[in-house]
Amino acid sequence: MSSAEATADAHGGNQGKAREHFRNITRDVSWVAESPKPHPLWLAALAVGVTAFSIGIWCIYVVVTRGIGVWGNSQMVCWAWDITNFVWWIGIGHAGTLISAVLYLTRQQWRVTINRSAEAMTIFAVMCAGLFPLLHTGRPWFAWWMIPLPNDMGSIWPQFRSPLMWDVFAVSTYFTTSLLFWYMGMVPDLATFRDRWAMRGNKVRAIVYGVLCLGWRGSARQWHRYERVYLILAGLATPLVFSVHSVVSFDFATSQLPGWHTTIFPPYFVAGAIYSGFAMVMTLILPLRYLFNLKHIITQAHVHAMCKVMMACGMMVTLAYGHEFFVAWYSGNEFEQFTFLSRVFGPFWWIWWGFLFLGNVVTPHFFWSNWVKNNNYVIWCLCILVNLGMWGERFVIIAVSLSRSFLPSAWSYYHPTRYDIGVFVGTIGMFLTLFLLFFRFAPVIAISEVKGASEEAHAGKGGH
Amino acid sequence: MSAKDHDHDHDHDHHDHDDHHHHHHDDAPLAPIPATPMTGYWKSLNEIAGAADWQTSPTNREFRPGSDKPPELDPMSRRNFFHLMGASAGVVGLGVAASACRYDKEEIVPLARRPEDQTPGQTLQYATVFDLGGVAHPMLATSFEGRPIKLDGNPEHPFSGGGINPLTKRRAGSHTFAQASILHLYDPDRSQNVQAGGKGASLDSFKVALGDLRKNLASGSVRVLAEAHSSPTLAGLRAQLAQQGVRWHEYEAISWDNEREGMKLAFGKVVRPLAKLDKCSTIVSLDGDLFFEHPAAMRYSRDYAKSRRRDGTSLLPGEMNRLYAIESIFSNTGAVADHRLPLRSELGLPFAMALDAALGGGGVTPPAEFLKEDKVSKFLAALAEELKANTGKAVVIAGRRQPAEVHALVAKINQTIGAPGATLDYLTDPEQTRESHVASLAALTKDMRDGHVQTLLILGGNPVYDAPVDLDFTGALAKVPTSIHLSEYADETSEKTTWHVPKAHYLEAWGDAATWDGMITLAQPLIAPLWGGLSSMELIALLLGNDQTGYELVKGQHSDKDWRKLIHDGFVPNTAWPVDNVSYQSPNLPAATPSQLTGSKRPNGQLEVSFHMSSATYDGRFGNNAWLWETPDFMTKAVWDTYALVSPETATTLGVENDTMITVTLGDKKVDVPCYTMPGQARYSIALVLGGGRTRSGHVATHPKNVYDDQWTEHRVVGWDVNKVRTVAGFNYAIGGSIAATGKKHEIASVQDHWSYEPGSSTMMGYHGGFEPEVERRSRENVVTVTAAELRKNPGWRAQEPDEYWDDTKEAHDENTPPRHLSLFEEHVYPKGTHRWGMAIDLGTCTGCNACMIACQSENNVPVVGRREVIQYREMHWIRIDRYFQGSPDDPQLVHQPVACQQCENAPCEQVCPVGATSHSEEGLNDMAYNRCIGTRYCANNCPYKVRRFNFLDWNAEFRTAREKVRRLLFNPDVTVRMRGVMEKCTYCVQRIQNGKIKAKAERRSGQAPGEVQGVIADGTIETACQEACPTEAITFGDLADTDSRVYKLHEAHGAEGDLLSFELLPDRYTKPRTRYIARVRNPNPKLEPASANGGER
Repeated sequence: MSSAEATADAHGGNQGKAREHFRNITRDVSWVAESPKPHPLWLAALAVGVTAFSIGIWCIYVVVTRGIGVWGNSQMVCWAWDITNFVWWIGIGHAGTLISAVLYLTRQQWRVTINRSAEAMTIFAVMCAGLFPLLHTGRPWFAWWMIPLPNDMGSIWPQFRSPLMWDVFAVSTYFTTSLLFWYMGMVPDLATFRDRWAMRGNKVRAIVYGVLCLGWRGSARQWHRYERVYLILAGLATPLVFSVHSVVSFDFATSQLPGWHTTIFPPYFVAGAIYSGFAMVMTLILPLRYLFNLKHIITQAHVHAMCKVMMACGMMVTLAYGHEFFVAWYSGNEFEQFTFLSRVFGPFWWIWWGFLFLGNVVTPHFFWSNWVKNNNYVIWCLCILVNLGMWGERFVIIAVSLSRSFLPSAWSYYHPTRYDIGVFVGTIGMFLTLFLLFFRFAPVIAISEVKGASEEAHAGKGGH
Repeated sequence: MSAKDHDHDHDHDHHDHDDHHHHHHDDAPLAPIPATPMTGYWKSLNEIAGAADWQTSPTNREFRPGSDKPPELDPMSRRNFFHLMGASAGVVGLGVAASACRYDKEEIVPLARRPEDQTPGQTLQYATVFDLGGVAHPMLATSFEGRPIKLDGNPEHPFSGGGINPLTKRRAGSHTFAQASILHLYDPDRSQNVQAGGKGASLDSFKVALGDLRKNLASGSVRVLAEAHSSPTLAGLRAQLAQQGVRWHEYEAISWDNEREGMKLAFGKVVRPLAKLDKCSTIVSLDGDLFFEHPAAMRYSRDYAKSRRRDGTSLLPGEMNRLYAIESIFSNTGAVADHRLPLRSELGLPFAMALDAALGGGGVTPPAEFLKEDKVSKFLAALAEELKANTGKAVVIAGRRQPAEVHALVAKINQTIGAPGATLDYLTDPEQTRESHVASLAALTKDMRDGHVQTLLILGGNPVYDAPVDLDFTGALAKVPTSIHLSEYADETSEKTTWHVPKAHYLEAWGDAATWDGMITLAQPLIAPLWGGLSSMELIALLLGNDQTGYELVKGQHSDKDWRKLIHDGFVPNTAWPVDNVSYQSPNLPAATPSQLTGSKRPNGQLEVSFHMSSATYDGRFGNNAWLWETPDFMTKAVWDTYALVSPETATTLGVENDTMITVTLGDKKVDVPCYTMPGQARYSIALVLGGGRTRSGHVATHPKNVYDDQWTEHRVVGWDVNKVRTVAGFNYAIGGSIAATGKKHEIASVQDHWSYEPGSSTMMGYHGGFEPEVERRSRENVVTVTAAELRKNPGWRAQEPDEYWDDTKEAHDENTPPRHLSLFEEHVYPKGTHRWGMAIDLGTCTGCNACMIACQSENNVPVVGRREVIQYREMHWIRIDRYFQGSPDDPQLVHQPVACQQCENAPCEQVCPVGATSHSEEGLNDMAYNRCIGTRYCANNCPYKVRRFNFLDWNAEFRTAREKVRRLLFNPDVTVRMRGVMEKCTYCVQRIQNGKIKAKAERRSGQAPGEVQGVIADGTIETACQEACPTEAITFGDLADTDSRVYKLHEAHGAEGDLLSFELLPDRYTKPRTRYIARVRNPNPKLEPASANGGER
């Protein structure tokens, strides 16, 4: 196992102890799915998730049947919550890919306890994100026109100059790769589930997991191929971490609206995405590790590491903000200058100060303190602030810029409606529901990888 | 006959279009076809066979007696469609007699031969008349296969004034109200049947009642209260009635009778002043609006534009007129004016006296404080000096709100400055004896109350709603045993009268009327009355026992002339009133009353309250017109509302602000209206807008679309009825008003600037956002303004540096010349012989009258979204008129800028559409394929001009309801009706372009036009709808590839004026727009505005 080799840190200890430790890990992780009764809090959370999801489905029904006029979008602010939510969700997905691919390639052992759930988060977040570009079109039933399907109608073809087309490919590639990566990584653990259910005589589950694990037997040859494919997928996924949000940012960067038209967007968006992604991972993991007794696997050291990543990304985002203002001033472009002034002092000032400034600029600096990094309640609250802050950032970029475009006659304001809120709440519900179901039915922690990364794995010199 | 044909010689051009409504008198149907009962119900087999008296009995022709339900008229059924079409197309003898049943004749007969002027799918144009307040607006109505779909001004009519630019071949322009009036034609809310005592009745029972009434005519207790008219036919009938002892009263809520009275004072007889603005160097408008409200507004707009651009083709200021406006409300005349003085209406008299004195007219300057104010005295002195210097080249025109004394004084001033004969004609008014409107109504009401009136016939109008409140017309009406109201809508008056008779729309009836200069203009119907209905003259004829149809009446009136030519042309030549060489008789003018002599400040309780025409409903008569309600007022940009205009300073002083509900108290009368703080409104003058708060009208006025959310439930009626405080004495304005905030708020929907009043949107820069400087800075960039003096001093002045803008001629003529600016994109290439359409909009002559907006709406099937959706910024207009204030809030300048799709060469919208729904055409247009659009709206985000309009909801859903289906007849068949979820925008009327090209091709083939050069279309052949409607020819459209075209000259003639004065909007975007603007050239008086201060504002 490559991760084990990488550690190359031989420790003493006897084989029995190690076997016991491995067994414990398997048991503890599997128990999340195997416990006969789910935790009441899990049930409560699922109820919340399903309710929110149902609200979302109703709102989506209304949006599709009556038209997106039920939202608050207007002729001047043509994109508002819809695209804000899209960008926000896509951003959230980034932590998963970063943890599983980039940290894998950079041999960051601490990733193994969280990568599985982070990857799941990616999948679900991208699913939520994908809803919005579809729903936000005036005629969603024709959204398939964006797919380049050969046809006999001559010039009917998507226009590849449009960043929205780039989005289609970037996001769909991202989703496919992430899904493959996630599923590939789960195969050995799904086999473990199969074996455990088979031992208990639950044939149905054994068969289901047996099919899902694609006949994994754990042979050396299988492990060897698994490791190679995992490495290749990690290699493929790594550029996606940077490309997806860069491409999403092109929607704005390539346009000519003040506040959108800026070259800093790709790195700025990626940093923000990782920032919000980690915040979301923590938001989910912190309660769940209590709930399912995984504190000894996802330890405080892991939380520390994530806090540090957030700090770094948060400060990158702050730098990007500063850079935006500097360039607006330095460019001498009055439209640009005015846009940034109106963001901070205009009618949406409270979003800028309350969300962007508080959430994204101030928050990371709390993580300088070890006390904060050890206090999971505080961390959780800060993560919520970051989630809100990043949402606000996207809203400010999208809607606030649009509300102050070139001609003052087109200046406007934006109010969300219950359907704006409802669809957003619905995607949160969908995300929560899927994530909770994942926690209950799938191996939430990469068992084999955790074992490989643990000290015991290296008890016998030279690895396993 | 088509628009094109109109140019032809009339002698060989007389098709059957004129007499399609009288064929039925002599022509038998081609084939007798058994009649079909009108509904599915029948009583006996005889009835089905048509043998019973069911159809022949006169009482059963229309509806069953007593039925208050009209038959369901499904307009899209073939049967009805043929009825409508047959009625107007003059095809065979299947016409519809006004008195015959429309349902017992049905012949669906294929035409054996195509009628001479009918081509399926081609439109025809007929001359007719839109009558507003008794003044004719000559129109050309476009009819598509029997249904009128569009109205435009009649360019042949002498009063239309001919082309402003010598290069313009034919043009008239049209009034906003006229443009919108076609919407009423298909309005299912129009009254559909006779009502007696509030219940449905038949027309025949009404005729029986009229027969009884006829016997009483001589008793002297029968009166007629009519809206103003100028119809010679009706005048003839009226004379017959008068002979029998019927007294005729006339009333208009918006009345020019003060001018009549003033002329009586000045000359001892009634004459009508008609200014010749095209001959003027100086024009002074005293508290009036020349370009929208005035009955001759279209003519004045055109004449003004003529003397504004004296050389016609030249944009440079040769001799250029100068316009002064002294007014209380900020009118669009004030916006166009070079100098504007905000002055309360009550100060009009002392101002006129002072001007008279300053001109040496022999009068005395009244000791009014406000005249001593620096600003006023300077203004007055400069004005007087200029008028003296421009003797014979200047004119003063007083508005309708000013009292008779002011009109008399203005006549004196005009005499002093040598206006009569030179810049002003006094036309002989044949009607010398008529009482003024208010006096006439007051006399009538008194008689009604005293029981002298047994029968009152109300012809049009809505006196219960708009009569002065102190006359208590409603109370007096209750004392009249029999009252009959003829009106298009069952309105407030219809509710209180004993009879209501539906009135035919003017496109459904024969008629005639006179333009403001008295020229007789003929109206011909284009369609049989959709809901039945009589015209005023038909009703009077019936009353007189004369069963002639409208057609016979009108033809009888004018039959000694060449009837077919008259109908074709739409007017009777040489009938304009002759000029009267009246001489001024020094009138006995009252001394200015003390209240008029005070200074410019007034306490609450002593405020001036004035009444103003609504730009949406006129006096309320267009209350059910959704197009007009949704067209933003040109000054406030507010829609779907009426309000009280208060100047910002006064509002602050009195503690009110935008959207505050205020109670306006005048004596013991009160009314609640929302407040709109209007920069430039005269201080301490509250302007109330008439025409709102209609309680009985159609669905539009009383149950506005989308106004059902909780916030508005207490206000379901559009606008506010300020007639509640309008009295006889204070008919135009009153002193002694007070205002108080009620503590409530009412959000006035507005298409612009609402960001600054957004509740809860206060910013860290202050309540109004602190954005005003930025708005003003950008407005000065967007609306480039230069003074004539600056242009003369600095002939090289440019609105835009040539290297800043894209010059089509220099780079796109052939494929080998590379573009001057390097571009990342492959630039479009236009091979020789292709068209490159372009537009130029002259900001110097645009009066912001909104005619282009309605014309576009009508032409392009633009939907109406309703008040709540406008509050959500979802208005759909393809062309909008941006309005910016510049300068101080108390006396600002105001600029208008029409903005439609700029058809960019480097269109940002085209780059970003993922499905290529919007793309560049081979002729340089940004095409929009509605069918392909999936509605990502990215194009709109990327449009710097924000001209794209998205269908957020299904705006046309209502047209699918059985009730509203009839409205679909109005749709222009050449333009797709867009479904929800797609983006739409201005296309330069691409359907007109295509039609023009097809026509040119056909003409080339048939040898009618030169065909050597491929694709040449004569300049001016294709006009966009906005261009056609524009009364000042501010919009020019044409082919930039044609170097002789007007638009080419305006755009980019090398080294010529186009290069100097034209500019593009947001040049730094490098979008290379095909619409260019012509800088607004102002001509301020150097005495009032030193050239250095404002020259070449950029």
